[in-house]
Amino acid sequence: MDNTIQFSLLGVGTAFSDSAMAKSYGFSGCDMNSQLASPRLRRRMSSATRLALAAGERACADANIDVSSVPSVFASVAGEIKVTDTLCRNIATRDFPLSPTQFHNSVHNTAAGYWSMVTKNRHAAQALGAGEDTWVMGLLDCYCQLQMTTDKVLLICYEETVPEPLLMGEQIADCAVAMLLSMPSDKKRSVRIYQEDHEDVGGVIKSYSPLSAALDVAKAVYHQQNESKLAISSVTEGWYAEVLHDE
Amino acid sequence: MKQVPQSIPITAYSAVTACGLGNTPLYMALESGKNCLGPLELFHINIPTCVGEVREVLPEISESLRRFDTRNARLALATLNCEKGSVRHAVMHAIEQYGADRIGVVIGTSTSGIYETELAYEYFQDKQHMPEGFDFLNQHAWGATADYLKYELGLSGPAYAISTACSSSSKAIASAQRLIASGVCDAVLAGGVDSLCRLTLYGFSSLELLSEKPCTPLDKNRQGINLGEGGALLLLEKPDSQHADRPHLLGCGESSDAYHMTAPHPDGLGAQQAMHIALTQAGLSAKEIDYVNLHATGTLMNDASEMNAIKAVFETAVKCSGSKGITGHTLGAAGAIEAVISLLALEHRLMPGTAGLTQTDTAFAYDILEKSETVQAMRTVMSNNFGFGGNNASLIFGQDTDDG
Repeated sequence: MDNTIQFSLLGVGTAFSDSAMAKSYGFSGCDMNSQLASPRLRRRMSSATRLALAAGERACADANIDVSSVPSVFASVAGEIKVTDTLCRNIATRDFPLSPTQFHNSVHNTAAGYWSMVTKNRHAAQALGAGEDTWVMGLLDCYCQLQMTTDKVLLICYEETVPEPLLMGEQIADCAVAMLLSMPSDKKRSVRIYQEDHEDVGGVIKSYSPLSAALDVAKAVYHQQNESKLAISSVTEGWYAEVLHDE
Repeated sequence: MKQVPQSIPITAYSAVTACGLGNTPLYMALESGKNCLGPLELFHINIPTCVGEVREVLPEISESLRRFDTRNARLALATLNCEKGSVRHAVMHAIEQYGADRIGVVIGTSTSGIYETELAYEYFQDKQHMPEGFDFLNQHAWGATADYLKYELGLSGPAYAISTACSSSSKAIASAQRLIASGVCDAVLAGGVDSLCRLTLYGFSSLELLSEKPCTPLDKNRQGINLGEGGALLLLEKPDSQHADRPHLLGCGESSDAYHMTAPHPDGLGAQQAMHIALTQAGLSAKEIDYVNLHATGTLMNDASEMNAIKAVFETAVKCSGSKGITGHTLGAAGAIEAVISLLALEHRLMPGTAGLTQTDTAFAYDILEKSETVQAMRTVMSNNFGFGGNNASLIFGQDTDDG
């Protein structure tokens, strides 16, 4: 691999629950409303799932491809953490029975499951997590799929806010970034990721922001800026991204 | 698409289940058809059911990695240490051969450290703050157990968790195959770990899927699942003539039902698709599969859907059975534990029976094994696991015929 991987970026989509946050990254019209999900189904979905679906639809529309035609990789540190928090509170207060709907909506592949249902997509759907390297690991998983099983793959990185007391302090969350990726071709905007020698700090987590990495890359793509070195992983892993546009 | 998928040798594997620590107690239970299910002792619940609990004392997490300390991490450590540390030794050997940065970790889990989060919420109810040592990112978040194993083994390659409910660790093994075949890693420690917890027990109870008595998969009187816990780890390495006699991962297939969040497609369309993809990747026809280790959870709908899929894929009868009557349904660990069961079946030419099965559902036409059989030859085994969200995975293991 030589620790460098290049993708063509066929489409990008974002979704935010807060329009002010969208604006701060220079995005507009990126709310969390999935157009494909029926209102009945949408009411059953968490904010994490709605964000992921809305971003995924937009990336497919941007690439002008059918939403049912590609496998997907859903990448999130904490997944359906709000419903998990509710269920844990129910358990702690002996508030039984648990809601069966909330229980099945607590699995990490809830967004992946709803995505396959609303898009009638029967391709493989991945749901992964890797702490603050979640987005980079999602990219690696996509790269391997592109090498072996598919020409295109949709990567969706999403996060809802982890409730207190599970996690205290500021978080970059309540948004989703989706990218439709293929192996590099000549005339497309591209993202190259590479790993540089890094300081070994023994795996101590320094921050919590895989989404900010995805947002930085999406912003550079959206505003057609070339970027040569955006940090996209924890310092311990030392992954960076380069964004290039057509000349 | 760019590279021909290669079959990937598996150079070490071990499992910790309700049967005990290591492959030997698991194999003995498979051979005798002993169910290892019993009452829950780990904590108290108000649900009548039995579970596949790991009752042995689990090893302690080392001081320097205490931030990862969960039952899930301890199950992972027990899996590394069992069988005289065979998987750990194989990883150490791989580090010497390839370097620590060339070895990845991909772990399937559906619970991660939620057992400790539940305890922390109980504590919070009383004290209004979380207990000392509670660490969301290193204990509860999805990547926690994969990260723990990475640091426990001194690895520095890619590490991540797959969490797609009951197909999690089958898919982790498929991701490991791709990491090696596409040259990102030279070796990958793949597997699955899940612990018993209140959330899954009360959750499956709410869905009315738990069996009060030891479960009876594929039986006409089956009444649901029993939950289990455990871990299984497999070391996959890049193909090399020195590994030619090792069992290989020959093919992987993954699909989505696009049907329902909890109910499988009645005809098992997604399951069929996953099995077809795995067969194609392995370069095998259905009649070249000697034995299928079924998902066979013991719920009415799951077993019916899977058997419809089996009938559609295998035009002639195929020997098949399910293992969850022995271990319980270990959810995110099931794919890896049943991968180890498949490898043990290959190694010992044993077709395991289906513990708990007394009267096969007459709708399931053919060749479901009630009792274990030792056979003259076994070359290929298929292992299926299907999860919530209609998430399907099928793996094929066998001897590699190309360079063997």
